[in-house]
This record gives sequence, structure tokens and C-alpha cells, in this order.
Amino acid sequence: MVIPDMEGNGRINVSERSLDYAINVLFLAVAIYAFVESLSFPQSAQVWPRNVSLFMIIGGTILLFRSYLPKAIRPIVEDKSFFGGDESQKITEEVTDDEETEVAFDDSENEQDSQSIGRYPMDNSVFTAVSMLGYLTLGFAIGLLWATPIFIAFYCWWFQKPWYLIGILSVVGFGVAYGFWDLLYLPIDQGALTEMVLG
Amino acid sequence: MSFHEPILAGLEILFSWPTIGWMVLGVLLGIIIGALPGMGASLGMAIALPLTLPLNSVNALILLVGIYSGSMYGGSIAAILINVPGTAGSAATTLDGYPRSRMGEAKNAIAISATSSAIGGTFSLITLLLLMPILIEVVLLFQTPEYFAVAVLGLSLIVVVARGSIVKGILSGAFGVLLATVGLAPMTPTQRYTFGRLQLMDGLDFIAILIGLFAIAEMFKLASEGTIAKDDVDISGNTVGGIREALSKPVTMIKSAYIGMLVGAIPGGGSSAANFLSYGEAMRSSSNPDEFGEGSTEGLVASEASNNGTIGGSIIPTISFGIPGSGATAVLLGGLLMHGLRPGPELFEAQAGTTYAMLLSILVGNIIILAVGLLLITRASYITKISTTTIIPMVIILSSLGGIALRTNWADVVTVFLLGVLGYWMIQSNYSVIAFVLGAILGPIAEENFIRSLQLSDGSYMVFVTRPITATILLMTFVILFGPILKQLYERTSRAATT
Repeated sequence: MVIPDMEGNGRINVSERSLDYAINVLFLAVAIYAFVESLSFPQSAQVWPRNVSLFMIIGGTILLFRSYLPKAIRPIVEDKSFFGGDESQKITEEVTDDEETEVAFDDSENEQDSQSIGRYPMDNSVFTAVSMLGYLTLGFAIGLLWATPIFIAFYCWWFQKPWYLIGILSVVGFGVAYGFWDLLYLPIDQGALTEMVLG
Repeated sequence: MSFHEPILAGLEILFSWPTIGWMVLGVLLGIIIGALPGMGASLGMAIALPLTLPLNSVNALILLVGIYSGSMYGGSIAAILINVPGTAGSAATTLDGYPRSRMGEAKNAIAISATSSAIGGTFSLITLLLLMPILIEVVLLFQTPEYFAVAVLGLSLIVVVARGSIVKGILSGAFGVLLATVGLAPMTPTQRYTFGRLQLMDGLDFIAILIGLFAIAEMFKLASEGTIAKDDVDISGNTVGGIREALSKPVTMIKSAYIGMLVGAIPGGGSSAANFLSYGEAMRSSSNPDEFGEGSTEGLVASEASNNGTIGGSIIPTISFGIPGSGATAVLLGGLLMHGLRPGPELFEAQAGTTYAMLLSILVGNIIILAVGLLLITRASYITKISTTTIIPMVIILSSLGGIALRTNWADVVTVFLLGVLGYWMIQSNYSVIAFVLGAILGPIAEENFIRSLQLSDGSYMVFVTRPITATILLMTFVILFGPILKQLYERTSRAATT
């Protein structure tokens, strides 16, 4: 679903707009907390965080009420690039004709192969974040050394990799974790759970 | 110290064993990382950063700059072969590189790219070395108030040049600054925002922040975009012909290298902007502008000479004032600080050998880029075939293990994950990640120098006004931050007055 962009930058996705506001509110909330908390610090320790959080509160509030800003100051909240984005877009459009764009589009359609489709319907980025969280939780419980090959095997299984590749990557992953454990003397062979059980 | 002394000391360090080995390894790793679609210099360097802990400072820095330099070239391999830029700095390379591949001249295109990258990077570095004596004089003029002003200037520049709105840039940068205040306050033993947790006493490790933002956020982004590996990569053409083509465009090559160097020196300018600016300039000044987008040699030369040219440019503010010119140099700055080196006079005096060895390693690294680009290109296609869903779990485990390796503190691992999620959301919503990173890096530098300046002046803020260099830099900061807004307001007012 798309809605008209209030700043006149075309149409944007509702979820993108919600995320934009969510980050805005998050920053604002953190800034308000930081400002209030900074008042309890001694003078020399509070100057910097207090001023920075005040700066954030002003910026965050302006951004939150961007739709109600007078036109004169609206450019400061519009998503425009000084250079880079707009310039690159212009040049790319200038040198690629319609036919080529079509070919490129066809190519991108073919880019999604079986190895980028998960076993169950779930957004890949969400799955990656959730599985990483699971990996870290498991690592905290049993040690990252043992959680590493399990995570790699699970991740590869989800994306329907062949069994031999799952095996190779898991061994490589364990080798990397072993290297960290052995060379950097990291205590990743035990986790909170295994320490509790094994003593 | 004479001009040649530190250069000789740098060469001596660089060509000693195992330093030279780390340089070769760095460049090779960089080329591979750059060639992997979606990866980039900052990501590769961020992952490698914790691994440099057991190395001495010079070897660690040489490995990091090797990855930086190599990945700048490596990005062109994927751009030419599969029409997907390996790094943001190779985006313009796709415009002429991929058409050449489709014409059956992939070898020519990769040879042009390798030659232009190597020569562009070399010109930029030689210029930097020639500028060093002047740079040293300037750096030595700077004291505590000036460093505070420069840090603020760096923060203000980034919000202007970063993607997204000015307010979003300021918010991102300020949030980075605020996160950096967690832990013990400078000069006073006061705990700030630690919630009484011992793990947060030393603050958030900014290398964990870098890993989260550059490696994990990129992996989430890559996962959402799906795999970009292709099986049908055909490498044909003529390598020698490609070298000749590149050398036949010396003006475009040198001009683009310098554009890259200048844009690279602007904090936040980055290789992507330099890439397109050089490409645009080459097209504007070309006698055959119609060939651009159809496999033009000039287009390829401009794009590739400029992105390697940014390396020299972006290193200048990093080593002189601690202001990174790009994401990759932000990680490099992380490496400097992690190994106990502070940007500024120290790097040009006591550590001059290390600094010159690092700079010369980029110069020598260009020879490796040229050799690899010309001799091993037939193997390059294997790299581009690796599926992103194979790369993602490996990057995640390296980042997590790297996080725990920093201080054996789970707070760093949690930082890596949370900043990865936040970074991904920020990318999706056009908040500047680079402004955030710079905030986290420059924040503590600015605060420390701010407090120290006030202590030196007995609490008087006049210290920032009465010193000419500080006042000039702060005035520049004001103009950069408010100039565009004031200009627009003035134009509107004068337009309204005329109508």
C-alpha cells in the first residue's frame, strides 16, 4: 500500500513511513530520557549530554511535526541529498535508455534463485535478525563455539542449500570460532547454562 | 626532520617481514570482499578490525588500508561482470563496464578498471605525500580548542553531505554523540547512563558500533534484497588491449583521480559521490558523449580512477584531525584508536614511520591491484557467483565473534546486534548512518577537548572566540549548518518583495 508523500517527494510505502516515525519517536524518547538523567550529573559531566540531548529534542520535535511546518523551513526536513543520490540518478537516467532499463529489470527478476527463498514464508531480513538473535542467545547459553556451527547449519537449511554445502560451511564456521577461542583465548567454549550444569 | 627521512623510515617498515605479507593479504582480501556483491570496504574492515587485536599497530593498520584499497578495485569486478556494483564506489562502473561484458570484452573492461584504479590511486597518494609537509605544519598549529572546533566542523559537514534531510542528519549524528557519552565521563569519575551495570562502565565500544552499523545492518539489507549471484558469467576479450585503452585516456584518468581525492577529503563525500561526479565530468568534457552508457572507455576510466583516488583524499582529515572522510576511514580511525594511536601531531612526529608505512602501503598495494586485475581476472567470476545467503551467516558469526573478542564483554555483542537492527531501520528510513558513526567517533573527541578548553580558560567560553583558528572553524561550521537555510529564506523574502 502506498500513500502520497506529504513533502511532495512522490509516493512512499506506509510501512516505511511508520518506520520513519518510529525511529523519530525512539530518538526523541532517548533524548528526553538523556536530558532528564543528565540533570543528576555533576556540572562538568552534564554539559555535553544535556546540550546534545536538547539539540536532539528540538530536532526530533521538528521532524515529528514535519507536516505542519511552514513552507519556508520545510526543506530542512525533506529527504534530499546535497550530492550523490540525485546526481547519480540523473546521470544513470541520462546514459541508460529505456530498452536497457528493461533488460536490467528482466535481469533483476531472474536474480531471485532458490537459494534466496526460505522454507517458510517470512521476510528474509526478519528471518536473518531473528536467527541472529537466536544464535546469540544460544551462544550465551552454551558458548559461541558450539552455537556457531548450529546457527550456520540452520541458516543454510532454511535457504535450502545442498547438504554438502551445509556441512562444509558448518565446519568452516566451527573452524573460525575455534580460531577465535584458541588464538585470542576467548572464553566461548562455555555459556551460562553449561557453566551452571557442568560447574 | 627532512622530507625524505620519514619516507625512508616508512619504506623500511613496509618492506620488513611480516609487514609486507599483511599488506599483500589485505589487498587480496579487499579485492575478494569488494568483488562480493553488496560487500564493501567499510564492512570488510569492520569485520577485520577485532582480528587485528593480536597484531602490532603498524601491521594492523597496513592490513586495514590494504583491505580498503583492494575493495575499492574489487567492487568493479562485480560491476563489470554481473551489473551489480560490489561497492557503492563502483556504481558508475556498471554503466559502461557491464555493456562491455555483454559485447564480449569483459577482459578489456577489467584491465581498464585495474589500470585506472592503480594509476588513479597512485596519483592521489603521491599528491598526499607531497602535501604532507604542509599538512604537518597545519596540524602543529592546532591545540585543544581547535580540535574541539574541528570535531564540531566534522559533525556539521556530515549532516550536510549525508543522504536524507538536514534534520535527520543532525538527529543521527547527535544520537551517535549521545551513545558515546555512556560510561565514565571524561575528567570526572561520574557514571553516565550505565543503569548501574558494570558492563557499561567503560561505555559502548565504538568498534562494536561500527561492526553493527556496517556489517550487520548491511547483512539485513542484503537479506531483504535477495541473492544476486549469477551462473552465466562469460569472460572474454583482450587484457593488453584494455591496458592500452586505459593509457590512451591520461587526462580523464588524472582529472578523475583528483576529483576523487577532493571529494574524498570532504567528510561524508565518499567514493559514491566522487564516482558519479567524475563520470559526469568525463561525459561533459568528452568529444564522444554519446558513447557513455554503451561501454565507453572514458566512462570506465573516470569511474575507476576516481574511486581509488578517494583513498588518499579521505585519509587526510582522518590522520590529521580524526575526522573520517568515509565509512571506511571511520573504521580505519577505529583501528588507529584501538591500537593506541591518536590522530594529529603524534602521527606525524613520534609515529611518523608508522604513518608513512601506512600511506606507502597503499602506493605499493596499487601494484598488487594491477597484477591481480590483469593476471587473475579469469578466476574473478567465481567470486561473483557466491550466493549472498552463503555470505550472510559467515559475516554474522565473524561479527559476533569479533564483538566478544573486543573486551570479552557481552555488552559488545548486544551492541553489535542492536546497532545492526537500528542501522538497518535507519537505512530504510533515510537516516544517515555515516552521520551516526561520526557522531559516535567525534563526540568523545569533541567533549574531551571542550571540557579541557574550558578548564584551560577557567570556564570562559571566550576561548572559542578569541583564538583566530578556532573562531574561523566555528564560523565555517555555522555557515555550513545554517547557510543553505538562510539562503533559501533570503531568496523567498526577496522574491516576495519583488512580487
